Amino acid sequence: MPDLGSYAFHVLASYGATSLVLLLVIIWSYLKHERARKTLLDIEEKINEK
Amino acid sequence: MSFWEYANPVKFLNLSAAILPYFSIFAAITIIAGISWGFFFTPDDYKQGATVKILYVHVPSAFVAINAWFMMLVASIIWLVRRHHVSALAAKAAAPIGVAMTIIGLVTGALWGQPMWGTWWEWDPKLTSFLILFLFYLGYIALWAAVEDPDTAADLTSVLCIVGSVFAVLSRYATNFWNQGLHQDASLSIDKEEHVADVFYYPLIVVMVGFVLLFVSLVLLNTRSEIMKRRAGAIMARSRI
Repeated sequence: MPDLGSYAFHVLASYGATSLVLLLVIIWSYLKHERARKTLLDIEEKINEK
Repeated sequence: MSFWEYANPVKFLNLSAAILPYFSIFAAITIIAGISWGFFFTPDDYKQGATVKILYVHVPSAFVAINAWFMMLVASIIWLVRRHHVSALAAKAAAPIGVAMTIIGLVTGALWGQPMWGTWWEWDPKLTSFLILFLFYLGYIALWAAVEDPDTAADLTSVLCIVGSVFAVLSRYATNFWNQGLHQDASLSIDKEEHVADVFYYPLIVVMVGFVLLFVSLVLLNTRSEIMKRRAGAIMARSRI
């Protein structure tokens, strides 16, 4: 771990905030995609059954 | 084979399914490698000290936040001119990623500014343009949500995107137009003399490539979601008829 001196809070908070926002947007996008995929599959299945 | 073939939603879904894993993997590799290189293996700056390490997250996020709007602008113009639904949905899909990148740019910029400028925020032309761009992103998303007819929503958001591009340009070039602001000139430039020292430059480029790949991956993923959602809606509407 590099010595960040008196700037440790600012540097670590920057990396923490970046990781948090990126993780949130990645998880949100993935869940949204899975939900859309599942909905479409369900509807297509129902249509095929008819 | 023409580029416009991929305006066909089925072709877009097939192509994106094939390339998405590669983009995602390369994005993860380049971001982790670039951040590790910059954080652990580069020295402190003689003026900025350790805060120079904030550069590796601030510059790529701001770069993507601004260029995401330009990508949306191109997609919006394609929608207005050629009426390809995939392009309108790609613009819609990029907006939340642009918001996330703008938030990162604003937060990391404040965290760098406090120790270096002595303030978390300054109404400097570049910072103010960037904040207005953030508000345009929120307005763009709100407009998509507020208008029920998707084609009308795409028309209106495309016009909003064209208007907002003024602030995307200002966010990038404000320091060239006005010199009274606090924000320094661009960290990267085609002119080698104008950008940061090589020891910071190379890891920064790696992280930037990673952020661009991540942006492309998430836009592909979100565009797929939008296409599938719309397809499900169309099937439901047809079956009711």
